[in-house]
Amino acid sequence: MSSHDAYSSEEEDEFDRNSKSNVLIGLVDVKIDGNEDEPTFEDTILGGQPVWLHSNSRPKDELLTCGNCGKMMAMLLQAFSPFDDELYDRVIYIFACPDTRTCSKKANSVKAIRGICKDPSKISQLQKEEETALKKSLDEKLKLEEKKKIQFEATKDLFGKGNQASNPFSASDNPFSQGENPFERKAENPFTAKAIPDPSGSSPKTEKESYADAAKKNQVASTAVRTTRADSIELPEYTSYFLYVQGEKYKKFTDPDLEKYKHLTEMDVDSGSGSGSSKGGKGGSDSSAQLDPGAAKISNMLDDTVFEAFTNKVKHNPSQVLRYELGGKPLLYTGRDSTAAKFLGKEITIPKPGYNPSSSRQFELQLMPKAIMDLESDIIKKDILEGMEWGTIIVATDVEDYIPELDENYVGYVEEWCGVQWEESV
Amino acid sequence: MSAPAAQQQGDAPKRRFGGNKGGQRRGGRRDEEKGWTPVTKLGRLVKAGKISSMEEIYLHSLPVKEYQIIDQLLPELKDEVMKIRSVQKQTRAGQRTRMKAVVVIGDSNGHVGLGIKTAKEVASAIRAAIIIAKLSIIPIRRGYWGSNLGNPHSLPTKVTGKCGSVAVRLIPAPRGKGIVASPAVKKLMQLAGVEDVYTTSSGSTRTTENTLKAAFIAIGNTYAFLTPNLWKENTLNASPLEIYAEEASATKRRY
Repeated sequence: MSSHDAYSSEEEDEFDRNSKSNVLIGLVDVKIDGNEDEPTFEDTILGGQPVWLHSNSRPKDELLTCGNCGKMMAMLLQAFSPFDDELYDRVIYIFACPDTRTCSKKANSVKAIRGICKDPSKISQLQKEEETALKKSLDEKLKLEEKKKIQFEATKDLFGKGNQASNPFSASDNPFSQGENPFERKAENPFTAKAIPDPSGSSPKTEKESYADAAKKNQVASTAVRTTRADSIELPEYTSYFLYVQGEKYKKFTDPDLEKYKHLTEMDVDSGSGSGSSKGGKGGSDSSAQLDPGAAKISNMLDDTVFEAFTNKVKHNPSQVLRYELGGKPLLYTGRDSTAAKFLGKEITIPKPGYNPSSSRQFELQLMPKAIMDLESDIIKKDILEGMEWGTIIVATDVEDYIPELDENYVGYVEEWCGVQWEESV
Repeated sequence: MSAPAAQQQGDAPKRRFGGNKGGQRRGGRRDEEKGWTPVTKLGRLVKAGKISSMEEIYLHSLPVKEYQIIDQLLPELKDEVMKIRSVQKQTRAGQRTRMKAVVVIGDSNGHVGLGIKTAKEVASAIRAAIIIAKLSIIPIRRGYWGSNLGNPHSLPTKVTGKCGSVAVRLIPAPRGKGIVASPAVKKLMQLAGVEDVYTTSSGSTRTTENTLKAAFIAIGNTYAFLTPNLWKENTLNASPLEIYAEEASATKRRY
C-alpha cells in the first residue's frame, strides 16, 4: 500500500508541473468581413489578405510563391509579435499554397516570413511613451513608498514596541501598514497630504495625451493601409478572423464515469496483486500478435505517444488555433517525421539562418489544426480528399532577430524556418 | 495601489505578442467549445458530417486517430471489461505493481474492438483500454453455415488466429446452435454480432489477453479470406496458341 501511495503522489507532482504554462494561445475572435474593423499590421489575424508593415514595402514575390507549383500562396496567419524589450514592429506571416491537391505534403509549399519595421520616428515616440510610463510608475512607487513610510511612522507609535518581530500588529497582516488602508487612498488624509508634494500630479495628464496621439497616428496608418489594400488584392485567400491571445490554462477534467465498473475500480490493489501473483508470471502477454506488415504499420500508427500528448494538451483549450512561446518547445503532432527529429533529439537542430550564419534559430510559434476548420469554413469542397492536411506548422526564428537590409521605409522581410508536420497516410 | 495596476494593464498589451488589441476581444463571449474539436482531417470530415459510416473509412483505409470519430459513427457501442490483473516489475526499490485491463467493445452488428492497457490505477487502465478498443475497431464479415436464408448468422469460412501460444479456430455453426466457446471468447463473439459458431482452441488459453487477441485476429481474418463469390470477374482471353493454331498447323513448321 505504501508503494501505491508513493505513485499517487508522483502523479500529483506531475499535475502540478503541468499546470504551469508560459504558452500564449490564440483563439478566434470575430470574422473580418471588411466593413467596420479593418485589420492593421498590429493585429493578429487568421486567413485573409496580409497587411504589410508599410504599404509600399512588400516582400519579394518569390517569398510569396509556392516552391512546388510556383503559384501565389494564401496567407494562413499574420501575427504581430514584437519583443518585450524592443521597440520596433515585428510581424510573422505564414503562407501556404492553396492548391492542396498538388502541393500538399510537398516541401516549400508552406513558408514563414518575418518582417520588421524599424521606423525611427515611431521608435522615438514609443520610447517617449515608455519613458513617461516608466517615470509615472516610478513616481507611483515612490509615492507609495512614502505613503507607507508615513503610515508606518504614524502607526509606529500606536503599536510599535521594542520587539517588532513578535508584535502581531507590525507583521504584514497589520491592516494599517497595508496598501488597502482606507486612509491612504483618500486625499484628505492629513498625513499624506501634508508630507508629499505630489510630484506625479501633472504626469498622468501628459501620459494620457500621448496615448491619444498614438491612437490617432495608428488610425492614420491603418487608413493608409486600407487604401492600398484594396488595390493589391492578388493573393488567394481563406476566410479571415481576428484572433485574441490569452495565457494557456489547464482545466481539471471530470473523467467519464465508470459506474458500470465500480466493483472493479474500487477493488483493493493489494488483493488484486495477490491474486495476480498467484497466477504466475508465465502468462506473459507481451508476445506480439501475428500481424501482417501492413496491419502492423497501422497499429503502430495508432500507438503514437507524441500524438496522444498533443491531443491531451489540446483538450484543455480545444479552440486554440495558435500557440506562441518564444524560445519554448513546440507541441509536436507526430514523433516520426523529419520535423519532429529536429526537436526530439538531445539538442534542437533547427537550421541556422542563412542570412546570419553565426546566429541560431529558436521556436517561436505554431499553428494548430483548429485553424484549418476556421480557414476552410467558407470553402465548399468537391471531394473529401481536398483541403489542408497538416497537423501543425512550426515556425522558428532568428534569435538575434537580424534582417540583412531594410528598405527606405525601414522595413525588411526574410524567410524563416518553418516545419510542417503533415498528417500521416497509409 | 490601484493606479499603477490600471496603468500597467493599459500599457503592457501594447508591446507584446498579439498586438494592441490582442488582449481584448471584439466579439462577445460565445459558447465555449461545444463538444469535440477534431485535430485530424478525418475527424473534421466526420464532425462536418461528410463521412457517415465506418465503411467509408474502411474503404479508403484511413487511420482513425481520434476515438471521438468512432463515438460519432457507432453510437451503439457496448464495452465490457474482460479481465483486470496486476502486473509487476522488479525495481531497485522493490516491486512496482500496475493494473492491466482488457476491454472488448462492439456494436453486436459486425464491429468489434479489443483494447489492453496497463496503468497505475484500475480506473485509468479501464478508461485507456476503452479508448484503445475504440481505435482498434474492425469490421466482421458474417455468413451462413448452410443455405443463404435470412440474415447472416455465422461466419463465411473457418478462420484461425494465433497469439503467443494460443490458437483459436472459429468454425461456422448451423442456425440456432449458439456460440460454443469459452466465456471470454463468447463475449467477444456476442459483441461482434456472430450468433452461431463453434470454436476450438489450443495453447495456454488461461491467458485471457492472448486468447482474446487470438480470437480477435481470427475474427478479423473473415474479411481477409477471399471466398469465390468475392472473386473479381475477369473476361477470359483466348491464349495465343489457340488464336494462331490454324496458321501454325497450315505452315507445318516444327521447331
